[in-house]
Amino acid sequence: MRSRRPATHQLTTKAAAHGALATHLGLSPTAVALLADSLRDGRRPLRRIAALSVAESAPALASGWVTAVALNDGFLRGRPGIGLAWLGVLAVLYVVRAVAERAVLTSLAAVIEPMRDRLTHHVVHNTLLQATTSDQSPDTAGVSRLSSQIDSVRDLTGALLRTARPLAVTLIAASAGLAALDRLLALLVIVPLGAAVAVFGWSMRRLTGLRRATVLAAEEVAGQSGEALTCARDITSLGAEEQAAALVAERVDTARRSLVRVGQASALRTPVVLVGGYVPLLGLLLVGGHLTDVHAVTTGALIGAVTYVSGSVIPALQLMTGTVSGYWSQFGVLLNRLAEAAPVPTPDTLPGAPTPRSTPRSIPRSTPRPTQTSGPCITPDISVESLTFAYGPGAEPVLRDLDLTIPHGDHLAIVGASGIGKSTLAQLLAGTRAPTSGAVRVAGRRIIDLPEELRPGLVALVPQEAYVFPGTVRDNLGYLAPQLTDPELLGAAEALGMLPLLVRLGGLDAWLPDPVGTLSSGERQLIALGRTYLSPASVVVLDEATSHLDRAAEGRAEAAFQQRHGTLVVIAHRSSSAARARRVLHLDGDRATLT
Amino acid sequence: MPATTGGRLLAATALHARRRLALLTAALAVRAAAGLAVPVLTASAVDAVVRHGDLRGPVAALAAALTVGAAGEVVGSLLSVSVAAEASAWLRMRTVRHLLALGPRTSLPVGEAVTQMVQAAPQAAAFPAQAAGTAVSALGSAGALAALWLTDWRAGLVFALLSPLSALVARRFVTAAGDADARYLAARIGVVTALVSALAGARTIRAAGTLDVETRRVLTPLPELSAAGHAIWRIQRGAVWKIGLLLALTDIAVLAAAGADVTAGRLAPGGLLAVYGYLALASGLLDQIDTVLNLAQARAGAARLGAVLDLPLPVSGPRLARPPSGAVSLHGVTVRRAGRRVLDRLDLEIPDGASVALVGVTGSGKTLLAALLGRLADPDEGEVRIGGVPVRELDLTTLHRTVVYAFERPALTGRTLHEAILFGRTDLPDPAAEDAARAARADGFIRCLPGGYRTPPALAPMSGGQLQRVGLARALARPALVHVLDDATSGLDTVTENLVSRAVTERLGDRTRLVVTHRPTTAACCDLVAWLHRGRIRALAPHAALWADPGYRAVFADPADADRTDATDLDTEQPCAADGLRHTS
Repeated sequence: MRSRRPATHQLTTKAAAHGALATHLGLSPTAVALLADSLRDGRRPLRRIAALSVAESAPALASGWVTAVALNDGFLRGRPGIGLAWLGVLAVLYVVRAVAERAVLTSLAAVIEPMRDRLTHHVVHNTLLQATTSDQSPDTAGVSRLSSQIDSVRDLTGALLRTARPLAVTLIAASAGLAALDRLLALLVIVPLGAAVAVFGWSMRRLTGLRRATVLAAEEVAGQSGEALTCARDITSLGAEEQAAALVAERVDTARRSLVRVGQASALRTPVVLVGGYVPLLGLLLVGGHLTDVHAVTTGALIGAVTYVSGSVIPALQLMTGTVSGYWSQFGVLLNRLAEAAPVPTPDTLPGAPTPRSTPRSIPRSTPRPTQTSGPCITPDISVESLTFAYGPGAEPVLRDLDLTIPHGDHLAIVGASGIGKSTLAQLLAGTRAPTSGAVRVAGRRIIDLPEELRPGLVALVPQEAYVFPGTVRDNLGYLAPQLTDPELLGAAEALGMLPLLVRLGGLDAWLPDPVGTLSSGERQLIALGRTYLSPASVVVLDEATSHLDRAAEGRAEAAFQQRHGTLVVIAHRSSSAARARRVLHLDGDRATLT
Repeated sequence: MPATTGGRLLAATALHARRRLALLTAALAVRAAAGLAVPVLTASAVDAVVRHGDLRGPVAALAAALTVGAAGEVVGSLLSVSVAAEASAWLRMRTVRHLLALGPRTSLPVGEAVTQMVQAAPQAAAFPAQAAGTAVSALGSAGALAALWLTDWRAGLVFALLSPLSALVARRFVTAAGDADARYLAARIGVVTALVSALAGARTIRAAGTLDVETRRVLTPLPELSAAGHAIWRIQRGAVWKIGLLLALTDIAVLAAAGADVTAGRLAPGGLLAVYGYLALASGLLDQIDTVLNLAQARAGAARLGAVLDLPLPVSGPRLARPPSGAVSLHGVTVRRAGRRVLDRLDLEIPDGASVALVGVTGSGKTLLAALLGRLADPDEGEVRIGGVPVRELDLTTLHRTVVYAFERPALTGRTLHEAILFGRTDLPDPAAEDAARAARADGFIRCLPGGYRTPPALAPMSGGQLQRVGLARALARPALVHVLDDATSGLDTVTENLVSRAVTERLGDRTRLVVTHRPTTAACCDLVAWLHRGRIRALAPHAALWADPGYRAVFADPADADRTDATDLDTEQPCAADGLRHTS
């Protein structure tokens, strides 16, 4: 990927040039950038598709002309053999088109599949990035929506390349065929046709905007009704069904109106077909009739011209204003939404660029193993200085001016009521959340300033919701230290009392296809604890990480962590857990007392 | 029978829009008729040209047909959109009202319910207009086929013989593509599942700095996805050109037959154009396959909505007057959940104006018992009375103004915090919200928010304790006979809880209160404690009298609840720290 960066730049510049047109047709600049990025491997097949379009257009180019000659020289002169022969030529051209169509599909696959791969990679990376850096809980409905949007973009790109491209080619070919037949007749068709196409292109931007409004309105309906149903118990207890329904009704009505507006805007398609297709038809008949009277135009040529208009131009216009415009506006809306949800990489954040996040795998290898003493250059005392944290600029601080020193090797328990800010403090200590003011320092350095590849080697945080991913037990245990040997892994399992679980699962190589469905919460917590026990970090923060273990199992796990070198901070779930600690920090409101 | 409900729902939707539906059908029929006239009128105009005859009549007729057709199309498309949009809004609101009336009684996950409303409703709503459109188009195509026969029966015969071939190839293609589609879908779901599971571990991934490793893991099914995608393209490659070629060759064969008739003088040259035009219209029959698939989708959507609308609603009682007092009595109450009797022939009498703490180990059914008072749940057996009136006999609105709740995790809804506090009681004066918020010690931090009381709840950054105080304000703002505080102060620090308790006593001193709690200090402040044990009330007595019982003390030592109590204060008797919730008289 790295070697392709210059090519991307080139393509991005090119896309910027094309961007003006695309923006005019309803794509946002970020969507244009996303499109350029996702198509960057598809330039060669796209060129091949363009070349094949010429072969595909042959019947459209020839149909009217062949009909004219077949009539003039054949059927009207009582020589059906000649007429049939000309129709035979047309048949051969259709065969050529079929062969070209077949070949186009190969090239289409070479454009579309890599495009979907790139979009998927891009969206997955961004979703994970946002989930790991923001406070908001991830929206799983949004995730599956993103995924189906990627596939809709895939389908629509394919559909557009299959229908819109031959459409443009057909219109051009039919115009060329007409010109070959008779210049004057061609002019009668091309002028109104050009005007209609121009007006329609102009209306596309508005249509895409309106369609986008319907998509947003539908999301608003989903959001408001989701809120109402999430609050169902409260709404029932308040007897507030009517007011809740009224709030949803507002959104539903907006959605209804935006749908009607799209309908009104797309009704423009009929006049476009009328002006671009039927007016030329009537013009041909009136003027052409006069011209055949004075023998300026042959009957065959007139019928040929009418064939071009009714056989190629009108169907193409109908397709363009109906199906294709629908595809395009959906495509525009979806691409714009995807580009918003997952902004396109700028040159600094391109995959492969040297961001700190892209090399986390190197950490465990370069940091000492847990069995050794921690790094000689670092004495990881933790000092907390006037630490203050509030969820927003106007919000009451959850923690205010907390000062605390946790010397290396300490065992500290943090207790307090739920919602009081214990988890927030755990995240501040682990450096995964930035304080509003004040600092957490490890070995004298602000932990929030530590490079991403260094921090996990120093501090490990185990949240309450244990993360066990589909994979082997070994993968999960060695997540933070992949180089460990089996005896080391088993030693940790023994220390934490998880050998029975290992036996039940079938050893280190047991495959866990669905950890959430097949393991209990407690079992998952044990695996997460084992992984952290084996990590090189010298500071371990357990945030209610034993909440689903029974008292005895919790005691054994905590004892194991006490035996492990380094500092242990436990967000205590039970009084027994606090009793084991050397010191206890009580959080009550924004006050904290150390005992 | 969800299928019949779905069918009835579609019928009701069509009936709801019957006038516009009739107009729509008329407009579509006009367009189809005009469309059928166009090829023959074009032919006669061309023949007039060939014969050097008078052009004005035929061209005027053609222009008229084109204009009428276009007008029919515009009117038809506007009507079909408005019928569908209207029906969709109607179905959505019907579903939402039903779901809201069900309230906490449905086990339908919110995400699923929202999907029904947002996706299934428009699908079902599209049915009437789509059905009308499909019927008219099918008739139009059949008309075109007939017109083709009438214009030139030889050409019609050739078409009738050849076009089934294309239909056959198209059908085989749809079947083959179905399998590849399923494989593709499975791989796609693999990516989504992996992504959702990684999102659940977002905090672990953040702490471990393993974003790239996780991205790679989630994308593991990508090669399979790509392979399935390429397989779909291969199937298309095998079929699409055949269908296109068959259609084109059918056209040529029909034209050849018509051309031969022109030579033989059986058909005017313009007739060739008429044949060409009817050919295109008749081929439209193939497109109807798509539309029929859409109709199936609409019926599936209606069936899904019907399944929601079939869930039975709670029945409101007839009595509109408030009960005479706030005395609560539960008699022989049994509630089963998952085959277990959570409450088992339970009896409880709460005198009017008393404060009663409800305690019991986690999972003993405290919240369920509290829910029975305001009919957030109904007992399977037994009766709940307030002021001697069975709650089932009360009108639901009256009941919800008689019993009010504050919850451990209140869910706020409304456009602003002010609206959220008075939600459902727009009749109360505006200052009631701020007054109640002051009593619940929520006024201070609400005023600190950037928008104050105008801040939307979703945008107000609140801790669990702050949220509880807003929930408490919501309950305190409402005049009622019975107040249920279901663990509603568990997230407050001790000082704030004392302040709030005092304010609650001041405001509600003469009202009946049921206080679900895990804290001995809170229980100590109530007149009586109802100790819920194994589905029954094991004791109803003052806290001080019960404290000697080690079994009672063990209720508060429940390990799973230790985080809600002060972990160190379990060993001494709990006096009432604030004069708190005790009856003031």
